[in-house]
Amino acid sequence: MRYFKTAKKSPKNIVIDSFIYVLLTVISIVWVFPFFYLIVTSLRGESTAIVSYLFPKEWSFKNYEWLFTDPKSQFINWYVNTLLIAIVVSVINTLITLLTAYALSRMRFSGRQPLMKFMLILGMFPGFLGMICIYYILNAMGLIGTNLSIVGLMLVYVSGSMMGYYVSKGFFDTISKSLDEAAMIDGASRSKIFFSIILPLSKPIIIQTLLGAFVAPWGDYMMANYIVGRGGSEFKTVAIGLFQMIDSDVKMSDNFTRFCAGGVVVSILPIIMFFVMQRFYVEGVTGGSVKG
Amino acid sequence: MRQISSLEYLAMSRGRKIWYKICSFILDIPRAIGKFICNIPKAIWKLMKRIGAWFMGVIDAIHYGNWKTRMSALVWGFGCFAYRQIARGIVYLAYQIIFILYIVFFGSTYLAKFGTLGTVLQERDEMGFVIVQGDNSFEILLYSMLTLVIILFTAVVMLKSIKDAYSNQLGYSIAERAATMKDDAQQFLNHKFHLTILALPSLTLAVFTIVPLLFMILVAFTNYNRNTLPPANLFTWVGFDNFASILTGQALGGTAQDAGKWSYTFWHLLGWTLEWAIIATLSNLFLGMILALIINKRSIKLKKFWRTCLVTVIAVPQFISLLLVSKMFRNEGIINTLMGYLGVAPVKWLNDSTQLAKIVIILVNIWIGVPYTVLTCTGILMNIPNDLYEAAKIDGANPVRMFGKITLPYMMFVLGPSLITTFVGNINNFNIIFLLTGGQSGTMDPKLAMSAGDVDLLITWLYKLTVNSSQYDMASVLGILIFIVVAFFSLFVYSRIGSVKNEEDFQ
Repeated sequence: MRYFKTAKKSPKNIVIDSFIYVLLTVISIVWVFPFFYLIVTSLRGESTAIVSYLFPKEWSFKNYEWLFTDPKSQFINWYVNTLLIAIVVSVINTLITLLTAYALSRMRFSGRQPLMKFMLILGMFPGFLGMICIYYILNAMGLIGTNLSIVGLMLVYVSGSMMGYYVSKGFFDTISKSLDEAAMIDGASRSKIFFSIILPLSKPIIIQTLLGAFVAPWGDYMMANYIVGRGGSEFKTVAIGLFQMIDSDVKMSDNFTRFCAGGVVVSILPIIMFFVMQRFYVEGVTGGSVKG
Repeated sequence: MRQISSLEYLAMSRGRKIWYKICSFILDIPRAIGKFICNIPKAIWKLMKRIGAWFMGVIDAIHYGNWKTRMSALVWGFGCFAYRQIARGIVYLAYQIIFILYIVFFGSTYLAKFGTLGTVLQERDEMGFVIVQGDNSFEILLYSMLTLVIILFTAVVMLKSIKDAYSNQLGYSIAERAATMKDDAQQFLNHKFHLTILALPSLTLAVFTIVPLLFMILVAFTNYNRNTLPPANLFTWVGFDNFASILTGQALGGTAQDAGKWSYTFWHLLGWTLEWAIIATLSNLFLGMILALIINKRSIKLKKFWRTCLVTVIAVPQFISLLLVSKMFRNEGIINTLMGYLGVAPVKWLNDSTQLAKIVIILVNIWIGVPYTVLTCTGILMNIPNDLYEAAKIDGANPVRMFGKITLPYMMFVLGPSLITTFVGNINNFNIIFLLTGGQSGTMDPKLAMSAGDVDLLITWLYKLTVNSSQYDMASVLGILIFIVVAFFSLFVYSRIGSVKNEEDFQ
């Protein structure tokens, strides 16, 4: 954006800039306020219900204590479940996505175009549609209502990962093919090319895929509720658990501040990961498309 | 509109040029739709021709092959054994044996009942114990569909085995040796690496996505709902009755009750879904672009700070922020409290009028969605090569012109294709509607059928039909209709965007 450099600081520019600063301040307040409210409410000690004032009258860590120590709270179980799911799903998902993208980007085999079109069409069906049948299949495999139900949820999350090849393929398309050709002349096989040439070059896209797959299970309600929502409380994920903590007015008055505390705890890990990897995220989003 | 020559176009003023472009785009839509529809039979014809060519290859193999090749049509893998490819032959043969056993002992029993989906009703005595097990329509439908898929797959494998045998015969007559086991293994890491890669993902995709989808598509033609739940009851085929009642409101076979309600709800919610998807997509795109441009303006300091404020929304899991916001907008929630400090009367944001709830939903969506656009746009702005601006400056372009000719086209080129993904994502945006409102604002509309609320999207209605009211037949019909809507928009746009077609431009 070098062309702005020559703009001189005329009075008109100063007015515009100060207007922009005011606007940005307002926008930032609006955008951050809910999270400020979340933290403040989670520290409220005097009542667990929703109240009509902002700052607590008594600051305390009671809600956090309840989440982690109270025998009625299953929060630690939920957290461990979700963490396990997120780790396993993100690793497998990334591997499948990248391999599929590599095959579709680099190899020319018969059935490649139909396969891509097929996956495009498949992706247009609402994913929830097949849920009754998936539930039956998982039930037949013994993965519903037992402590293996997390595995069932992992399977559901992983199964569609092949269809997410699109962005990674765009990224691989921008890596020059002459690298492959040079390696092939030196006698490298396709698998060798992928693991020792393409993968080291695609750090941004690997991290972006990992991140996306890692964050998704923390926020999924629709699928998770159908598979683990009706089972025992200790098999749930944080999304289901926290949702059911406040899903009626009675529960709201008992649990609202606890829900906020849980929300803060759950958010910590995704926030850290996101800000550490933000650089790669931006590169990944734009890197796959066009380079000047 | 009259066709004009390029000379006439160049002579127009800037305003008229823009007007002309808009008009020609809108007037072009019917023609594009027509062309798109005309292309469908062409595509099908092409597909048929390809399949035909594949079959011709098989016929050739049988016609020109020797007895060993012909024999492998009966005993699969015979051709492989004959040319001492023992391992491959064993795989083919084992597959054939397993297939025959499967069909005889398992598949055929279900396939036989596929036409009726079971006739024997389950019987219980007065204590509730099962006397007669009866037919389970669900299992019959699922397993016979599975069997059909397996038969289709097996047919392909069988024909492939004949072709293999023929190519062995040809290869043998040239080199006096067929490909060995070791050659095969090497191939799977090199020229056939794609098969190695795609095998396992395809299997999970088939089991957990394709089979369930096919099953649900079949369910749309049955009356599988809460009145006919197996194993206590039987359900059966009803043809297009479900489609008729949801689209036209006319009950054909008398199976679907309240057909008028179904169709009213569908068209009502379809309208809101499209309205929502268009507004949500465009508002996020334009507000995000403007905000990104403002933050990236050269004279603005603290760029990183402003961006971080916005981007926090992306980092926090969506269900937390959405649930929290929905509680903030409650009658006794914090928004009304803050408004009270300012001296404004409290408003029933989400449970009074439908219109207000819709506006709140769209505002919250802006809050959730704009940071994504800002992030993407920032990346794009950083990627625009500086020499373009330098060249433009030398040619004497002012900042406004540079923006219009360089920045904007560049951004649109990258964002354009993602626009349709966002649009489709919004049609199926479950989280924001469900977590924010539960699909219901204010009083129930008595004209809406079966657990639908007035701000439900089609996808949340589908969810409610499946989870709350067990109307699986209607849920399937709805799923298929959502697919048609999504497919129409996506294919229409894809066929008009060049960057999808020219996928190798940047290689």
